[in-house]
Amino acid sequence: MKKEVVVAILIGLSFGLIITYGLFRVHKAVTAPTTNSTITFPTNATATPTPAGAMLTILSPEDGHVQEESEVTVTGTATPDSIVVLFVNGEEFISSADASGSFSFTVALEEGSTILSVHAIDENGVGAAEERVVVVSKLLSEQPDTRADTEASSAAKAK
Amino acid sequence: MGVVLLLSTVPMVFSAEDVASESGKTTQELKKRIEKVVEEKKQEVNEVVAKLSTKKRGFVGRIDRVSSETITLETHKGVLIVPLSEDVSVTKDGKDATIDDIAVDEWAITLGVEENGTFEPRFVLVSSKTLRPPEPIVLLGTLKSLTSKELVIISRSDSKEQPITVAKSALFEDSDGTEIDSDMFDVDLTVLVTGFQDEDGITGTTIRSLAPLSEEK
Repeated sequence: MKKEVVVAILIGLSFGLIITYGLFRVHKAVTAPTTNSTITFPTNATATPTPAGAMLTILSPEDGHVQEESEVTVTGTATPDSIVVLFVNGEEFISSADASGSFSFTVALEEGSTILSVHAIDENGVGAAEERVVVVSKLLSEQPDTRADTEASSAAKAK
Repeated sequence: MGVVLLLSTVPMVFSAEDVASESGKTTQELKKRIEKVVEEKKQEVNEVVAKLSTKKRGFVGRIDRVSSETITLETHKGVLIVPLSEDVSVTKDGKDATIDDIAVDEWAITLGVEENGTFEPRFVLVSSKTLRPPEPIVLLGTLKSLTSKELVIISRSDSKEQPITVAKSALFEDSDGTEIDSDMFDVDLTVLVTGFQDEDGITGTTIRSLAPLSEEK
């Protein structure tokens, strides 16, 4: 009987040690410092804290999107039937999310940068907000992409 | 009769061989042609793939720091350090500029390409004016009072009184978005207020009733 208890304790301790080691590894992997690069890239974390209960996700455009067209369609999802307001270039566009929470706006943009600010507010007055930066510019297209061309030709040569 | 038949089959045999040889030649030529086209297209595909792997990106932010080789932008998503190499074109208010022309607290757009998660700037467009609009705000509440200059709502989210300055160009709207007179707004009406917030408080630019008003009056 005593022998069985000792064996059980040993097995329990082994399991405990294995789990502790696993947790230690996970913690280490998560908190590992990132390598330095030439640029500190902004994270994709939501800029505005979203209060509990409110929901807002912008599906398009992507943040930092560069386009040549002067029109953009903003799509996303919010709390179903909530009021959705898009602020762009000093104008406000008020709409509402449908029963599934989807919403869409198509707006004209000026040359240069535009901060699109989307706010959703539910029937309890709880709001959420998200922003996207869109740049309308032809500069990158006018500049020849020499590096991409070089890479493409070297890849072709390699084959 | 047998001789005649034999003689007549000889040219037929020859023509079948000829056909087989012609067909072989055609197949070879076709194969070569296909290989040639594939080689030509390979290069085009590689060029397209190389261009697809790079993504055009743009960031906007307030200039937080300027050094001899970099500028630090405070974007809405975090800090972005932009290295200013010889390949980066810098302009300020539409004119060519150098690093000496850039000052802290000015605003900048940086355009470039992102490859494998690394952003490579190509342009820095500096602006002496802010590129960030006033902070927008959306409120939902019950109307407590309304004058031509100010309205007070009881916020639906926290039940607190919220005074709001009415902008000179403020729009008063019915529930369907049509513009109506502010006189149609009564106390206890549920309203949506959109506007902006600054150090002076909240300014309402659109006040919309959530209940239809036009039919009532």
